[in-house]
Amino acid sequence: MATVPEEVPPSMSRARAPQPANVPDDRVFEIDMYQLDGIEEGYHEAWKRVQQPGTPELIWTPFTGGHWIATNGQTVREIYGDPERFSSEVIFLPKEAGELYDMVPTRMDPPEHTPYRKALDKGLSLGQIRQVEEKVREVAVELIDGFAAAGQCEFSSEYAHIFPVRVFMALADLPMDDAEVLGRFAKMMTRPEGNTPEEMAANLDAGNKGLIDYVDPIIRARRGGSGDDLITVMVNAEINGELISHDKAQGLIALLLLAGLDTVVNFLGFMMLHLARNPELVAELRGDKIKLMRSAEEMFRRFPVVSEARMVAKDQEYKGVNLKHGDMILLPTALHGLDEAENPDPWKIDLQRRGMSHTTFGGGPHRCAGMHLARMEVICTLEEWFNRIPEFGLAPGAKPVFHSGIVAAVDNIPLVWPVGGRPS
Amino acid sequence: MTAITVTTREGVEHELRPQDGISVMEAIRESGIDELLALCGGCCSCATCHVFVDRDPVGQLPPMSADEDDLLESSSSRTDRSRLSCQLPVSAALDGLRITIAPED
Repeated sequence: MATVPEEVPPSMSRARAPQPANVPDDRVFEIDMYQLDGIEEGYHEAWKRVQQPGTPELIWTPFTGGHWIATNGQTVREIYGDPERFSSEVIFLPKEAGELYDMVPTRMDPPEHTPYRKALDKGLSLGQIRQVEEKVREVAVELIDGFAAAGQCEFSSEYAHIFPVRVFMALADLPMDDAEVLGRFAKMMTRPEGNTPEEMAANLDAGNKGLIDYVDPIIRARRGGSGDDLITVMVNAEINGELISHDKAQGLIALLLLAGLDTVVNFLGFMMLHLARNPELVAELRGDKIKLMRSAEEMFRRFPVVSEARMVAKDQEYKGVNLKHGDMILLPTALHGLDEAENPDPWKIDLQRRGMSHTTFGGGPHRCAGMHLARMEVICTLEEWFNRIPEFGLAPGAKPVFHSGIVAAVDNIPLVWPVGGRPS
Repeated sequence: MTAITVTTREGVEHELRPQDGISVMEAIRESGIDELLALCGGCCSCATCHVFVDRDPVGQLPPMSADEDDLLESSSSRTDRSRLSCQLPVSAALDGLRITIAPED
């Protein structure tokens, strides 16, 4: 097993890029996607500060190498859905880091992207995912049974950080002991450490290389294999009539690991923190199986965790500014699900909400291939949790800690509940 | 009002008279037919409101988006009559529409 790389602590002085000639002064806002102002109050609350009445739909920040930011739902959705104007050639910020990242097929545009995406869809289709539901449910039950009698747990470290990882390790047929180091590589890639674009690029690159080196021998071993695990299916996929190349298979598996290890982890944390603070919502979900299953989407809308980017594919005028080929635009999905113009009363979990709109799974050709798995993981978690822990709350004095980045994070979620017939 | 006939997986026919403007998925759900899970509530992201259009009275169902096409592609029961019912808004033009709920994937 590989060693877990050390963490680099953040400093207060962040590098700033000079303002390019195509950026008007009234579009400049000081927003650091990795250290959002007000992050101590909450990740979604911090992003929402950016979306004020009168905020232009596209703004520019000097931090993280200098980049544009889409600030409302309509703009986020439109950019995701138009790969001819907004390319996936680079999708992570800072751009210096994003250029090093070689997951497949997230950095491809159609038509190159299409056959790789079809291979992914084959492994992650609704039908495939239904077949693994019992395995997923077993993982949830085992974890919850492990602490239910104790009357307390730290949800982030004892469930959220373990459940999706174990699910993924089971689906990919990988040893559970490797989960920690893979989790560390995933974090280096989604919240890279360092104070300059160059330092962050080096950290992201180290995480990326770590993942690639990890998957390399596994791919070689499973080529030509007949197993039905996710990795065997992917490394034996046909691309335009030929077996997928080794390099592309590496990128594809590394993407699966990254996507499976960090997104659901943090989404679950945000969701359970909210449920712990809203017992009436828990009671409503607990009493109605179908309502619970249908609530997952409203949770996805309310707690988006991803902020990736698109690269401007050609010089163009858009939203009143002149964009240059190569400019980067950050798409904070939090500013779509929580946009009043898209979802009235957006902070409320409304189980009767009609016409819901979100890009929590992205949009366009790269929309999350794992969304059926994510939805099922959320439903299994809620069902099995409520079966064993019907009432719970946040421990007195709890101080959850929030982090922003390509994938948002929340740590320190101590939950408590009554046990053994004693009132809490 | 628009009349839509829905056949369940067990072959039971229901005649619905939904209000205009809601989706066919919502019309089925509100009629109490629970076998149409429609998990995502109409975001076009889950493929659990899959139906077969048996008869399209005027040939004027809205065209299929790339998202809908991709989702249906992942269903093992897709046919050339497959649609996601959340993408079909009810209007007078759909009067006489007949659909069957697709098998669960």
